[in-house]
Amino acid sequence: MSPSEKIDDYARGWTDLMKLVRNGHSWSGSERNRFFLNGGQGRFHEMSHLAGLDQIEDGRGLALVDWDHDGRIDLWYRNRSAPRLRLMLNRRESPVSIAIKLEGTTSNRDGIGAVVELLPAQKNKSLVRSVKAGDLFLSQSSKWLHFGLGDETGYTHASVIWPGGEKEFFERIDGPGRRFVLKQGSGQAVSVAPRGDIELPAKPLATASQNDGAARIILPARVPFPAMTYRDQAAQLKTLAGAGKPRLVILWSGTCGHCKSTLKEVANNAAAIRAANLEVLALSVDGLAGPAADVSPAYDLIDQSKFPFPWGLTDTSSVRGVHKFQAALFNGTPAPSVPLAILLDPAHEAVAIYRGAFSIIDVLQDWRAVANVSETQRHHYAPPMSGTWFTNPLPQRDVKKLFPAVNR
Amino acid sequence: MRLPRHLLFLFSTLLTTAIAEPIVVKDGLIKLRLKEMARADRLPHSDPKEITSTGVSFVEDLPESGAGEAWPGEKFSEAALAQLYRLIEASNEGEARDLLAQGFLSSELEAKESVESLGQKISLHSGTPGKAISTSPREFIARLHGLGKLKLKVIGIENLTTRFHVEANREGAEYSATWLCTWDDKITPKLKKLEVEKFETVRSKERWFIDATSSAIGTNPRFEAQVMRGIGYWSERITRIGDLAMTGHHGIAVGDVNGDGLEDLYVCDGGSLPNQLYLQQADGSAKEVASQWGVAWLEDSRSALLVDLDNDGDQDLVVATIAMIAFAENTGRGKFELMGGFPGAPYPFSLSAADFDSDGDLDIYTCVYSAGDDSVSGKRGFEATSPIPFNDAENGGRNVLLANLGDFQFGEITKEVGLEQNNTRWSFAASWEDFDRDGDPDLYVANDFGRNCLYRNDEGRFVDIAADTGAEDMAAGMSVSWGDFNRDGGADLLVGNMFSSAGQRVALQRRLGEGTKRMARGNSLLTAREGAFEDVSMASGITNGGWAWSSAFADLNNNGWQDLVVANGYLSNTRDDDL
Repeated sequence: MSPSEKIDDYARGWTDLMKLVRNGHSWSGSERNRFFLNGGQGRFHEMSHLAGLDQIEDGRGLALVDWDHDGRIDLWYRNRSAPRLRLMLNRRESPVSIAIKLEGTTSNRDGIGAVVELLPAQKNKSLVRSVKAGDLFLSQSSKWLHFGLGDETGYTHASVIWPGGEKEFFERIDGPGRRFVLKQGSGQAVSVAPRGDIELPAKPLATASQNDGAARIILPARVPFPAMTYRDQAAQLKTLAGAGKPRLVILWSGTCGHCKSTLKEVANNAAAIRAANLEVLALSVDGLAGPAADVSPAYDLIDQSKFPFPWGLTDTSSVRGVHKFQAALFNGTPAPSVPLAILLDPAHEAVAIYRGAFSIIDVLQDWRAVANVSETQRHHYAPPMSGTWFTNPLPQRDVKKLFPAVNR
Repeated sequence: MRLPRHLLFLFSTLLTTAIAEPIVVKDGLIKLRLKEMARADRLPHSDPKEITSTGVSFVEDLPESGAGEAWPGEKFSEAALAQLYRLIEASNEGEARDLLAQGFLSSELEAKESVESLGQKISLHSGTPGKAISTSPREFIARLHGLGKLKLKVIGIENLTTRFHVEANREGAEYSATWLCTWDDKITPKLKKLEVEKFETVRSKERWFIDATSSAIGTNPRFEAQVMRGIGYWSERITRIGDLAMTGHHGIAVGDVNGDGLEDLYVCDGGSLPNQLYLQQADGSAKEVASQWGVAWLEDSRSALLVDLDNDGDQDLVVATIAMIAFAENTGRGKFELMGGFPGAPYPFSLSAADFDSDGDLDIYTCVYSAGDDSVSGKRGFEATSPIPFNDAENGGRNVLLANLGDFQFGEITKEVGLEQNNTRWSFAASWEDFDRDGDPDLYVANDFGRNCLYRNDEGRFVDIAADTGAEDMAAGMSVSWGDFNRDGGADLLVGNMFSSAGQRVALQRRLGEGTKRMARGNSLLTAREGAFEDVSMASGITNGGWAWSSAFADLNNNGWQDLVVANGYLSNTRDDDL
């Protein structure tokens, strides 16, 4: 391979890997978090499991903090996979520690950048810690400095190099197990009143909640929807595309239990749906196998539910079009499944997606909420939980550029 | 994809800073006014009792196979791994015999003698593994079973030999080792010889940590939705327009935001998922109050800092989002007020604050990973720009230093202070430390595809001395932790790097060349020695931290010696077949 071919080949390699991940593959997944004990002789020894720090979620951030003020460092993990947060409290029977916080007066108030050396009364190994704001990966730990004392408790002084280079000695660090504030220029450590014991019992987390595939998704913008073809009740070939009335397209199968209950609920609420000026088109996927397919369950379900709206049998390329539409919209591509409903505005643009059994009452509520709103309001309404955006929504013309209707 | 964004209000003024020579700094902050739209959450059902949909099958046109087949040796690696797991699961001698070649040889798997105390009732069993000698199938499976629950990864292949990283645990004991296995065939391999390259077992009866997540935050209304649902779940439900990425790079910051002496948490989340602020209560639990405090931001947020930016005694907030680096002032009355944002860091990762110019206020360094996404093609991340060359890439984003000009004004000053040197190396993380103890903070930057940077601060001007001091650590850098693990008073470096068994294997094959092996070696420990650094990673036994995102020095047993904690793992997905 020439160097440029090698580079192309390499870039393709990344794209291939990301495709596999989108398709559900893991990549260095379910790795155990690690803990290595410092043996004091330049060697570390893994004891992740023994320490109880071998959780398998995808870790990202890590914040070190003595959360409960018991003199031991606790750990907050920030994860990609569930649980997204984990608090591990340190309950190791350990020697005492001293905690120190700095207060700058001429230096920055948090004392960030200061280097503190705890000085032993007798000759000992040095204990040096520095104040930081932001380290590890995407993380900020406590600004309280932690000094584990080991067998030595005879520490009484500290020397501080303040940011800017000024050196200062502090006295009266005279209580192993206590917390002290060192204010710049004072030369005296001030001990902080201890906090009472707190009870935060160990409580195993439930395993991550099952992903049942169900979803009620309000789209943050109007997204062009692909054309679909189907044969209607009279076996006429029809195309669903272009401008029309607002419409709920439901993909379903006569052999799926949840489709039954969903279509019945839609039928029972026909009056409310018509009052909302919404059309419904129910497209069965029972005919995907072609002319040989058994479509009788679809007819049976339509009859049983006295389904009052137009319906038909759609084909493989239409279903693939819907799948591609979802694959283009979402980084995690959902497995194709029914029932699946898409709420379309009069311009044949999708405004909401319902996966799994859905409530038509929710759909009507969503339609009322987003039928006639500005792009900004839609942008605010779409996230699953309320919050605030700094940014304006993506202009509709850019949405059309990024998500052209998938042509078949 | 990174979508084009349109910020609401723009102001721009010229100001100067007061460092050695005055440098003209443009105040790059954009002022914003926020509107909050109150509405109900649409939370996922908790504990679904049944699956509410049925799969539809049709001809799938997504690729099923990929990388694995293009790399020679991957098939053999898979086969060898599967055979060794079969041996581990073999319940009787007969089953084991079928998996072993004639005249099978093995060394002892676990150190029986050479005990050393690690203090606090922890013992270490290690030593030099013996030679492989003739071992019966019965004896061999008894040894395997004696190790406890085993986990294996193939970290090297050469001809008919595979190298395994082996971990095992059982009640009160944890085993780690490297095994060299020689097989008789590549297609249906039988094991001919197992030689232990190195091994050790740590024994301790006490469990150190308890899981208090649920006790601390389990009763918050969004706990189920935001803690018990992973990014995988949301990536099927929040669109790319909503800026939710698969990779889940969202960080955490600790600080006392309400001045009650108890530490609180600010937690970043993906686009369309609100950031969270957890206020610690007197009982140790924490209440989520981001909306009340005005910081439930929906922008894709990577990292945050809680620091006092205006020296008024309370903790202000900086958040790196893909729209801007946002600065918010703590009003002291239970709220943060957004003061403005810097839009010139479009793909930010870690933040780190220090007073680089010793003028008494904190400045902010932001790592900017990639040069950006391609909004025309819609390609994002690596699909938009590939790091080239893989082990020494300089085509990443531009990191920025924002100087604090007072009154919540910040100006970009990267180039003026000398930080433009080696500044586009796909940086994930940075941390300040006055490593030469001269009173001003120096900066280490961990880069994903090759050399790292160590910028020495000379009175507010920077020089990259990584190459001269042995601190480049050419690898896939993800995190920085400064500490003093050997208690000599010098500032040592723990650099979090990727350890990838696939990377180790592939490195030995033709496609990516020799440089890759070092790239996938894992964590590095650089010890301070007379103004420079010595790489003691291999000798210290710390390299295999997995795909290590955050690797930290932390003395967890209060003996004065800093231990190592690692948060790792890249992408766990719905399928188990790990790449």
